[in-house]
Amino acid sequence: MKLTPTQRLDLREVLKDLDRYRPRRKGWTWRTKVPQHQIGPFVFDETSASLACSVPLPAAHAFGNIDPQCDCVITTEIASGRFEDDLRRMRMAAWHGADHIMVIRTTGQSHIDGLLEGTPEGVGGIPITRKQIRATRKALDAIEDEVGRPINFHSYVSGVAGPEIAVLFAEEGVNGAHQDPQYNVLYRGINMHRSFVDAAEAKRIMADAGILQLDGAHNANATAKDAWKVTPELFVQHAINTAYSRGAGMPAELIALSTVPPTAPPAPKLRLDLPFAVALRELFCGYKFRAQQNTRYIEADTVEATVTHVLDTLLSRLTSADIQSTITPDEGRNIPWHYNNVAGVNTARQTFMGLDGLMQYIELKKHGPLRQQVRELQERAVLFLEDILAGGGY
Amino acid sequence: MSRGHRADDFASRRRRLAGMSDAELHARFWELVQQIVDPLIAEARTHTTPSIERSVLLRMGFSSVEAKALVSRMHERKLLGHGAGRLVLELAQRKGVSVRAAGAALLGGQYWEELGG
Repeated sequence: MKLTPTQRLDLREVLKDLDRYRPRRKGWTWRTKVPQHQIGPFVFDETSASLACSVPLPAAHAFGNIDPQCDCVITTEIASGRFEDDLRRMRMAAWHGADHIMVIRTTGQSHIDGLLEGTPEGVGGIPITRKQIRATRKALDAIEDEVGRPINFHSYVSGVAGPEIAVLFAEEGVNGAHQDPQYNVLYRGINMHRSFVDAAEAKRIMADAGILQLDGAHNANATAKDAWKVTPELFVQHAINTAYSRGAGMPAELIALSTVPPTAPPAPKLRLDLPFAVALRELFCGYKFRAQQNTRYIEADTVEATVTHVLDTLLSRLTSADIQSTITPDEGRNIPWHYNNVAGVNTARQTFMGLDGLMQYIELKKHGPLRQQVRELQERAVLFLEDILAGGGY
Repeated sequence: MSRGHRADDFASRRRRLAGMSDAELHARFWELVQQIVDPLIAEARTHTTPSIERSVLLRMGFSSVEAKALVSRMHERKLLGHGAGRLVLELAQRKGVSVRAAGAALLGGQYWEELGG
């Protein structure tokens, strides 16, 4: 299937001969970083290879229509609930710089004991079936040819059918997935023994297929009553899934922590979130970091959401991020509109381009309140672990 | 103090951590995590679930609908501990038929009395 920029995606073409379609690669793909990248009149320090086809940021027309791509993978979450809408939105997002397409599952799929089949519609996401993900992978293969960059396709290996979903994803060329048995335990009320036993098998299958794993700690942040108070617990949740994944045979390079700056203004956001981000990256040195933008404190005002998300992206640059996930600014009020996937992606890339090379000019202090807070958070996490063991273990 | 709250004892409890370097503290963190996770891994090594067994049958070429039916019937007969894939494979070998044919026969109600148990 070949796409033409001036023509709409033809869904009949996507479905044609789908039973014989096979993914052309497996596993996760990182961007190709290009340091000292001359683009138009500027030399960028933190960019990746440029796209063949893309839509630059709005102000680019004043700079020769340059479209520098940042050095980390950019995520957008696709959640229309309608399969065809999802594919069209993915193409838009790819043209605007996203290369990690995260397809949200329909409400309640975590509780379906087995695989679903066919092309049903969903609520807040699509039901993940073999047919839907094969068609999506086929469409994404054509879209990545069009824009000139590999696109990582991502969904969820959680709930009561984890190992089967993992097999499905491995066979159909899904590149990234959430997998964290604590999601089942904390948010879905699913049998704890079954959740962990399932998870070990699912993780092993994911490792064999090179699927990048994201954990579920962002949910703990999003559901906390006072998110700035649960940061030591977040370290514990990251650590349990990380150590469990290693025990199940997953290599460090496939383990990504799903981390969110916990707070938002009017809280003193950077004073709280920066020590957390530094402490996390110290404790989990050697693993990948998927930085998600805040959802806990996002209201109906899209400008307020965007300002918070700019600050989140600044934190990524002050520390590190292998993947910068974006959140649509209207997520706090409705199922996101197509345009807001683009707006979320643009927020991240506009911020990253504006911050290009920043850490050559400034550094985080090695003494003072930042180090004191980092140390306190890490000590609190150790004490939390001691409490778990004193209480009889997990 | 309301129910569910406890006195803040961080200052006293952290005293024995205060002398640790950052590297020692990080090592302590991972040592404790490993102690918590070890029994979970041990359980995973010695147990299975319906989803794990269905995933094996999927890789053997059965559809999700067939895998669900086979595992469900094996579960009813308390046979899952033997491994769904192994039961089908060994049946196929004994009968000299393909794995698919063995699974189809089970789905048709044949040979259940011959499965391990």
